[in-house]
Amino acid sequence: MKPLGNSNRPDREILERVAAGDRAALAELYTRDGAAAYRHALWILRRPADAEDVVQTVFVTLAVRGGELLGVRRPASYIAAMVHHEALALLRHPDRQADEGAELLLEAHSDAGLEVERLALGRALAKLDATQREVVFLRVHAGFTFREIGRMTGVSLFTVASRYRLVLIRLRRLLEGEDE
Amino acid sequence: MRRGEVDEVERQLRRHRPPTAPEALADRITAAVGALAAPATVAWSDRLWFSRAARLGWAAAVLLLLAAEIALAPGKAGPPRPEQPHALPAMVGLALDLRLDPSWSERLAAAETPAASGLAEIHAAVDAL
Repeated sequence: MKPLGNSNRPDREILERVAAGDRAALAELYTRDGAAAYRHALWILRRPADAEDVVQTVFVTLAVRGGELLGVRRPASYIAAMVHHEALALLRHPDRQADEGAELLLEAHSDAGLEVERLALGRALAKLDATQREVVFLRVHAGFTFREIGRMTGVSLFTVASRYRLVLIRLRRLLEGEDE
Repeated sequence: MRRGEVDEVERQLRRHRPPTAPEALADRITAAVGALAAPATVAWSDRLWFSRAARLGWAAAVLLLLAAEIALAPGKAGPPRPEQPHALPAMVGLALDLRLDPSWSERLAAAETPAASGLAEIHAAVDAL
């Protein structure tokens, strides 16, 4: 895909062009939000091939959604909500293959100390369920607010905030070897 | 668990990044979108609905309708209706029974408040029954 070349273009203008069938605008949207969508799907599904399928489904859906996109305020939240629904649907599919290694959730480091920490975090994250990992990703790596996460996942702000805190407590225990 | 310990886990997570998407994924999506039969289009109704000016226009029209409804609705303190034709035959009968002047039937049907002299006339007629 060849993007339009102006990554500072306003969200509304990009969405209007995507809605009208402009493929270059779709490519620009992918350049801006595609990587986050892939990471989000990967953290839910823990399988790169499945994450790619989800991102492809999301962007093909965006290409045909048409006028509905004109009502979208923030593309990143809208795409994250689509990834959430697609990934959970795939996760529940009975023919889905097993998850892959825990180490693929975070990028490798050349620094030995950070690499040890990464592997420990990966193992701990792999023990969480998909929705627990998702809230960590959306908060820590995607930078969404609890309110935005609540809207895109269909739960209240308070549920998201308390879930996030409980997940961090559990991660801490897993990292200390208290919760196996 | 102390808050600091939870914050430390958050800091550890922030020191690492999830992996990037494979470069081939963009080409895969391009091929999938290119294989679609027809590009998306925007219906005029969608443009109308999602346009900010149109939404403001709709909201203004609804407010105007509400204001007109309130202004035209008969209030409790509003003026009495000039005539009540459905009540007139009964009032004619009542005026005849009380042997009142025939003009009373119309005045009673219009819910007109009688003057003191008129009330005295009615009381006298009732007492005479």
